[in-house]
Amino acid sequence: MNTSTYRILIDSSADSFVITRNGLIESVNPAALELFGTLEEADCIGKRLSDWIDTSMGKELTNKEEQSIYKAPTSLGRREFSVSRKDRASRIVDVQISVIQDKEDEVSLYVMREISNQDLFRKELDLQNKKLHELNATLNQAQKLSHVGSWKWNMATDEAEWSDEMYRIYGVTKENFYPSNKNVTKTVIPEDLPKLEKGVESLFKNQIFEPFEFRIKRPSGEIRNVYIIALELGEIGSENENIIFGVTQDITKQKQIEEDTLKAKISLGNIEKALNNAQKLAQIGSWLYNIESQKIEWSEETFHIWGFDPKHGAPDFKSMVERIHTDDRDLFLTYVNKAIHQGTPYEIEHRICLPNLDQKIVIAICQPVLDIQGEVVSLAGTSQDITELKKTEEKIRKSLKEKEILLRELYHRTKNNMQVISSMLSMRSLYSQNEEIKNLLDETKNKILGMALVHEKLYQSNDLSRINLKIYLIELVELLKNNLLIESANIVIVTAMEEVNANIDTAIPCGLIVNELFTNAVKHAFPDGRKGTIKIQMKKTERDEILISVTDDGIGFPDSIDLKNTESYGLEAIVMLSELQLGGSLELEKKEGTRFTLAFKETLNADRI
Amino acid sequence: MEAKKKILIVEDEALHALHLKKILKNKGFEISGVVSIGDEVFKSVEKDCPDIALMDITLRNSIDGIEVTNILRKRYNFPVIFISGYNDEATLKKTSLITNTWKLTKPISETVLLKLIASVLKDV
Repeated sequence: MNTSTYRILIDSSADSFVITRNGLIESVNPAALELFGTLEEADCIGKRLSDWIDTSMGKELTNKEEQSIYKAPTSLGRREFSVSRKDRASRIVDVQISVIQDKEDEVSLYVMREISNQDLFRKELDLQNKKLHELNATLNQAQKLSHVGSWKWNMATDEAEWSDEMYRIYGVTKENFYPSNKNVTKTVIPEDLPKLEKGVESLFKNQIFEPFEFRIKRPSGEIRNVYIIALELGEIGSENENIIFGVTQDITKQKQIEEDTLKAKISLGNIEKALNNAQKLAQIGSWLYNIESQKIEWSEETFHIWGFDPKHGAPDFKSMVERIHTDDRDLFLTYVNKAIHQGTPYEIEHRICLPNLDQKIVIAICQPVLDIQGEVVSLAGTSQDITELKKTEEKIRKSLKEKEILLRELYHRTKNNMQVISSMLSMRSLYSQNEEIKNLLDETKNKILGMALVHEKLYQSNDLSRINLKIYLIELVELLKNNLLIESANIVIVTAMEEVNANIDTAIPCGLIVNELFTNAVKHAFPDGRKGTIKIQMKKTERDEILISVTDDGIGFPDSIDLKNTESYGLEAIVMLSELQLGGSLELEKKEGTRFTLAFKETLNADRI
Repeated sequence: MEAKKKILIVEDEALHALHLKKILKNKGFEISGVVSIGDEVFKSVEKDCPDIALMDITLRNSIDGIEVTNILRKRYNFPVIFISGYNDEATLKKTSLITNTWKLTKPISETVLLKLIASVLKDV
């Protein structure tokens, strides 16, 4: 084909052809003139194509793009532009750009085809559809997030339309569930059906809609709580006349939270009740004082103890202090101030004077609560009513005091009675001519006096149960010395004793044993005015064993007497006292005189009074 | 000649025990033992079973005489004479439940004690 044939082809083409050289229009075909709204080629030749391109649609050919077109070696593909016509109307065109190199010049061919009205509609529709789709997606997302579904139902035809969320709420899919009246009714828990019917009925009768809730059962068996937020009837006379529009919300989660909250509230209430009961029984009230807000919280029992009515709330600090006994107020305030300003906890006893003039004794305990900086932010504390406790304590103390007095009196009288018996024996001894009887009476008298001395020591003691064994034995020896008329020039008595305390059940056998041994030594170890020493020692070993020994440096114990098998009453008695009563032993050593050692542990009698 | 009757003395007051021992020895009885604690009673009976026992009810640091006798009764049936400082009903009732027992209240008359022993031993 030659050039003219091309020219004919181009001129007869329905598409617009524009050829530019170095950016300026060199040639146009009749279709292009038609597109630009002119009949004259002169209107176009020598001008830039961009002069005709409409910039108002935001799709202008920028300089940069124009340049890139020139530099691009081949087809730049299709672009869409708005063309400004000479008659000021505008057309939308598809532009196909091709660039051809012609020696030094750059030649571009623009082929433009007007987009038809139909295309425009299609494009607009696509756009609207896209927007609608986006809107739908947004709505769907919103419904999904809020668990709210929307629906419409045609009463006449039983046709229904559900939003995606409705299907999700009912746990069904579009494919296997059609929301007809029958199908939807089947999902409702039977006992909740009346609620649904009542709600719809009220809408028809009174044109008023009250939101209502009911339960549905999903195919999986799961029960959901749903809530009809809105119901609306289509306008009468319109095409929607028979349609009900509705909005349904799945409120299962909220219901669960509500139920849990209620349960927690009940459980908390029960705990509070139990605590209140416990406080009531223990007569301990608790309180919390927030220093910054000056708010005071009191437990029920605190109100009861302080005699305030819980209905009026916790009293202010001033009213509370006014209830404290005037003599105790300063003490109370000092401690409270210390707690607030120095964070010092306290435990004090004070009295409360009630309006009915009753007085209570209370133990107040307070623990300051500190923040991270160590500042006191609140005070927490308890008030315990110890009035009854105090009364009982006083009663017991009084009763104990009485018993103590009685016991002391009893010891005193026992001692006196023993002394009377001893005096009687002493008198009998004075009147007796028989030395043996005199001796017997005197020995018995000394034993009774030794026992009386224990009772004397007991009523003088602090706790009425234990005496100082050292002092007792020293006084016993002194008493025996006087009664046995030892001439100090002949017999020297030495005592070396450690401090040992003992109770009556230990002291009496010890006294009787020492009495017997000491008397024996005085009477038999130093015959014919022989001089010597009697040593009485007592010590406690590391194993808590008490050792009491009576030693003399006299003529020595007769070999004929066996301590373990003796017919002598005195010796047999002290062996039995040592073993049977003290659970210990009595040993005899015959070396440069005589030494008896009593060894025992007090454990056997420790618990006895 | 008839063998001497053996008596066990269970008493934690040493001088009372000694007193009983002297009286009974003087009357020709043999003393099989003088003990003050439950455990020692069982040891003594095992070693030398008596014909009769004198049993103090309150024993220091030990199970009491009633309990000791109850345990003895599982193996031995020798007569037991309870000797008690207390004469309360609860104690009386407890002792009455044990077979072959008698009861004396402190202070004991020497004559009454000897008569009772004689009568108990005669029945055996």
